[in-house]
Amino acid sequence: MKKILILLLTLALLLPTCASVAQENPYQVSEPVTIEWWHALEDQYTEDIQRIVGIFMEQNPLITVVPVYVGSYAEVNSKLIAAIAAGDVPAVSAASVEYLSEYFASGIAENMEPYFTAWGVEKDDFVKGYRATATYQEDGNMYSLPFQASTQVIYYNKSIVDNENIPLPESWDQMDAYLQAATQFNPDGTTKRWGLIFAGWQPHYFQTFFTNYGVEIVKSDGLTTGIADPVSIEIVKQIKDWIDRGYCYFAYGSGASSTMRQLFWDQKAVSVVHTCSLITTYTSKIDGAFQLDIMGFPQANSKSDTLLSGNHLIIPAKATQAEKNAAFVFSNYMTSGEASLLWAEVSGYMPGRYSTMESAAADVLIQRMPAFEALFDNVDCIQPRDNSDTFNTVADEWMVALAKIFNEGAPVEATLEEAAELIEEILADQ
Amino acid sequence: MKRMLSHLERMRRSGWFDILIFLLSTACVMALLGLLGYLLEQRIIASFTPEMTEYERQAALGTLTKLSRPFLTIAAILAACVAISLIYMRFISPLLIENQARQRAMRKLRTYLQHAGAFLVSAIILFPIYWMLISAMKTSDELLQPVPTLWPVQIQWTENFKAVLNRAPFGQYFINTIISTFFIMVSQLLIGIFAAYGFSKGKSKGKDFMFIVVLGALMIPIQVTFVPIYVLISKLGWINTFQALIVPNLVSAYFIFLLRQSFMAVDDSYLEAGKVDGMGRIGAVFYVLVPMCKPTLITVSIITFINGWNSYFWPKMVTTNDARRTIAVGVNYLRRTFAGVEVANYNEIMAGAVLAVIPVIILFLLLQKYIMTGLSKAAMK
Repeated sequence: MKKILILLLTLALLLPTCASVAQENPYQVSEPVTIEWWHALEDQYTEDIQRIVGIFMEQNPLITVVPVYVGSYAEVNSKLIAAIAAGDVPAVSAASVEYLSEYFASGIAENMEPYFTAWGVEKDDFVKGYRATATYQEDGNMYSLPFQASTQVIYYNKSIVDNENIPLPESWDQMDAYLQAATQFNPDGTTKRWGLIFAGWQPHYFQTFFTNYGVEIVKSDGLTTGIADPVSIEIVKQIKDWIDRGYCYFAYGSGASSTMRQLFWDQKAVSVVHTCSLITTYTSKIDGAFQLDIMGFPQANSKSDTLLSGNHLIIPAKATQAEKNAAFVFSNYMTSGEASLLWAEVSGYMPGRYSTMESAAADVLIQRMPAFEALFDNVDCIQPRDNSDTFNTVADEWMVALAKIFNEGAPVEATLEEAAELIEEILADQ
Repeated sequence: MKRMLSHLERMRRSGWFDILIFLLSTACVMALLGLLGYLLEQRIIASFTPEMTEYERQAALGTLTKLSRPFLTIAAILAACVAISLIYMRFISPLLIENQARQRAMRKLRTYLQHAGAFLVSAIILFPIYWMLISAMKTSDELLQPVPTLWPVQIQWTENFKAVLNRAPFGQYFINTIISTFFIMVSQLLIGIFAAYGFSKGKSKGKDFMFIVVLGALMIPIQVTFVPIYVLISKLGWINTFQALIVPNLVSAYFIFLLRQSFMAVDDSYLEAGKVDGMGRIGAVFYVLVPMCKPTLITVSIITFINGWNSYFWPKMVTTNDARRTIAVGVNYLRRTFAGVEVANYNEIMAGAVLAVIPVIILFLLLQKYIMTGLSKAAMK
């Protein structure tokens, strides 16, 4: 009798424990599952994908991942929409940041919050700006995992800067001295070596030069623009002055990007504004001809914000629960620790978590690729950008106006006022 | 004067004379517009002040003034073409030459000039093919240079082709494309022939209405219908199969239309004669209509083949692996970009495009005679 009682009491003690273990992680992968990962990483990443996915599958033998290259992010989007309509979705899909808000609003993406709770993932570990992009504003929940983040940087020729003792600008006020020192002229007065080339073919490359000074491209009322405000005009005049003096130029139009890159690689430009995701391309093209480094945007009003680009991983809500469980394990792996540092090294896209950037492995990466130090140190300066169609249309009109001013000599105030009128008409129509 | 009028009269009888008059009229209109623009430009320039910037001066000149020089240039070119043609017709064309020996000499000169003109036009039309070929033999750095080169600085005879063949299973892509294109071609032809026969020679009520419905299908682009078709294909479990590539393309409304027009030109008496000989409907279609419309059918086959070979959007939607991927999608997958924006390896993509276009060129060379006959007959109609 006593033995039976002891046994029963022991079982009674064990039952809650079993129950709590059973309830501990309802998103555990408990049986073999194969998942498809749709991505837009082109052929040059095939070997890296196979390597990183291979490491994951070794660590998670129950999960088989089939990476599928779909095409560009636009093609991933159209194929995902069709797959959702058909009910035949991949377990994980890449999603460029401009599509995220639509996915969240239409219920395409799975809510990540329960998975974070179950797996003990700290939301605060995600870089602030990336977390904001992954969050659906209506309910404050994260519906995607930041995978590959990029932002605007200034690549510069460290060899020239060191050899000629050129002072790097830490603030906008120091730019004039930097450009004067960095620029060289031919005997006929034309520019032999540019101090800086502004990337002018997409607005987000130069937008924060203005917004850091408080210029609002679209003001909070949603109906007016600040591009013709006095602060904006002053900035434009400053840049125009540098351009007129031959220190820099505004790269705009077809072929502008390749021309700018080539000038930098040929050491005919000391610095260029571009995306950090090209760091491996720049490094390989330079091939040791000179030392490459990165500087953050010079501070304006103590701000040196830049804008977030890149892509996230989403788990389509229509996948089966078993697939979603496996998909979360895979996505969590790809966006943290070892995997995200591997991605940073091969692609130049930045990791999405503070813990990754503060790890010992990150220090090792920085020793191999010192340019990452500036990126990691300024990660909190990366802000989410407005990817709405309205803003993109407005920003394009602004870009055209700036191109007219910088490249065709159009009058600053009149051109910006004309552009502001057009933009306010566009905003009024929305 | 009389002689000149006689020459003009004989030239007028030539069909080209009307075209030359049209060109001359166009040249006159262009010249007038150009002159107006020029006079306006001079007036505006006279009103410029020294304080005006170059941008303000350019903005003050309107579109007509900016186009004055292009208009005048076009007018000059057209007038030169007309003058050369008139001289040719007067002195070289056999119409106006009475001396036999001179006629023979001019005939030779005419042949040389025609060959030279054909060579020039061919060079312009073939330049993109030439560009594709030499780009496939350049390095990627050379292709990214701001100033293009007309011949590779460092010829890569086989490197790019080897890289492409190593990176992608082009053999599999070719097989997939040949199989899917062949079945699409055969089904579109067969269904097109029977449908066109019904619409052209049939006597059923509602035939015309049905034909209008078929024509209506021509106006709906694939981007509108691909989602429901994709849903259907997916539910049938046909993703990554030949069925997904072929079945949605079994019928072509355009070819039904083309073949109907061709069959309508065949007199019914031929079909009646066939019936008298004991042929049924199938016999009449294949032994009377098809042989009489052979050039059109061959043209239709070739266009179907080329469309199937180049098809990109639908195969990209319904394939997710190399097992059923087609050549157009495969060439696109060779792409490497700078930050997802600019292509970084045009040389390899061009090499892939060269490989993709070879079968089409072979087909054209084999069936050139039928294509030219089909096209010229279509033009005459």
